[in-house]
Amino acid sequence: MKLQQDKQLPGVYWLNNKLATKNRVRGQRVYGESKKRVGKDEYRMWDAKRSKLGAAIHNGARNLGLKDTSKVLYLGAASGTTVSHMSDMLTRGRIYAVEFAPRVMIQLINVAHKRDNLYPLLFDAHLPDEYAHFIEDVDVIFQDVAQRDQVHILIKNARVFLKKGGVALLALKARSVDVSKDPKDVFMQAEKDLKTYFDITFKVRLEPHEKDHMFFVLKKK
Amino acid sequence: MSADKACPLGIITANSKKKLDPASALKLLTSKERAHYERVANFDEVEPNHTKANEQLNAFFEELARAQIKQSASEDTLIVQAVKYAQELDTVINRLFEQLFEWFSVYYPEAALKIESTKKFGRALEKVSLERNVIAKKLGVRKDSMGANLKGEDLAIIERRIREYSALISAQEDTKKYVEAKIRQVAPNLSAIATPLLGAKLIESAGSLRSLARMPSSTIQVIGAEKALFMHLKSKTKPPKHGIILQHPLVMNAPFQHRGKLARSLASKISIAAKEDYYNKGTTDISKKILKQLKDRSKSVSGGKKK
Repeated sequence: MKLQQDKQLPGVYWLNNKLATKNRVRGQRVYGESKKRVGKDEYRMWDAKRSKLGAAIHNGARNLGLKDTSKVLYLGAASGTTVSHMSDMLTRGRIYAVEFAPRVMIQLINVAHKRDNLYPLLFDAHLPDEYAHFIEDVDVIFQDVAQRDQVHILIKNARVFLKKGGVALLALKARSVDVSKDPKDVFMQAEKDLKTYFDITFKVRLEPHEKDHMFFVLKKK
Repeated sequence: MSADKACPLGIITANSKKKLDPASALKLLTSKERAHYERVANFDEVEPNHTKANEQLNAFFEELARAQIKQSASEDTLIVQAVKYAQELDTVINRLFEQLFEWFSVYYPEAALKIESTKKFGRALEKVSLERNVIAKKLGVRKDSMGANLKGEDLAIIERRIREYSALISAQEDTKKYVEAKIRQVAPNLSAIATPLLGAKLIESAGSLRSLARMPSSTIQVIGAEKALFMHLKSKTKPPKHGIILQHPLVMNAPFQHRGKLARSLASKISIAAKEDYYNKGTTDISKKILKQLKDRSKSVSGGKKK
């Protein structure tokens, strides 16, 4: 079995040319992904079809600002698929995972229970003031909420929590911004809005893993 | 970093009027759990990435989230779950009925033809034995059937499946009764105007009474017609006139050309009722006034050709 560490992304591995992370909690399986043993360590395969960050890395996104000590605010954590891999990556970091739906939060709590770098918060990402007191300033904001005002939510949160020069990662779903518009137009408008607050360092479409999605890597001005 | 955030403990005493603010979130915690938070609250002073601090933070956030989840379940969650179950029962019953009907027809086709509907079939055979002369007496059909003369295990297995099927019919009625009683209590105005079952279905589609109350009436009008709506938005097809609102007698009984107008008025009144029920907790009864307005509207639609 060929195991390689990604040169630019700490904590990310390529196992036989497939994406994987070193399992922080041995034996734990989060979303039915396969586990592989290499020497002493256990690796969890990262399914790009289930995770937008995984898809973005597949499609060439690097310089995500994620270091092993990074502090991350994760908006739209859902049941913890992507978050669990991030928790594997940031061995000495902290992830504040915000999710609004109680139903999936139950699963997220279960994932976070054994991962002491992962903190679940049941709050509405529209209203950062409501959880501002709980969260320190962060190096990276990851946002995947599939809401009409996605860009707006990101900017609101970046204002409150993101350090200067910090990185924001945005998985934008064109179909939830406007179903009837051409995705290209939606992305153009989003770029315009993002540029008021961020520098766009990288962007990539998530095909073939996701339809009508664009992944942005942004830097706070 | 703002002064507030540097010293998160300050918020415990702060008077905030917001509903879900951290201060009241903290009140959900027991004193032991709060002590956890107090210990880890000043995390800036704790050595960064210190494992112990991380563990404590993890424990604190888990307790907080658990307490919030406990609070999040409301009465309308129960309605949503019950409606979903009832709808699932509907489809299951329909499918089982088709097959069971065929199976029973092998034995007694004359009787089967008399009870050819999901409910009748379940009710008629609920407690009787499957002997031909018993059924013949009950349904008034001829005793000498052209069906096969099944005996022993061949007949017994059909009987057992019919018992199960009848139990499902009762379960469906039981669930619907519960939904009706519950929605009358949670959303009295909505159930008076939209009829209880339709009101419950609307809440189920919207997700909660809160989100139904926040919807514009134009959205309520086309709930359940999403396919047609998105077809309309994407290409140039006609917009749908109504979604599940069509099940309301006011719209259902109207002639075809009036349904769009009535669906529009009904949706707006449902929207008002939902807002009343959610924001005022249904304390005032506005249903009579609204029902009268709807009646007038219905009259002017059907007789108002002069204008």
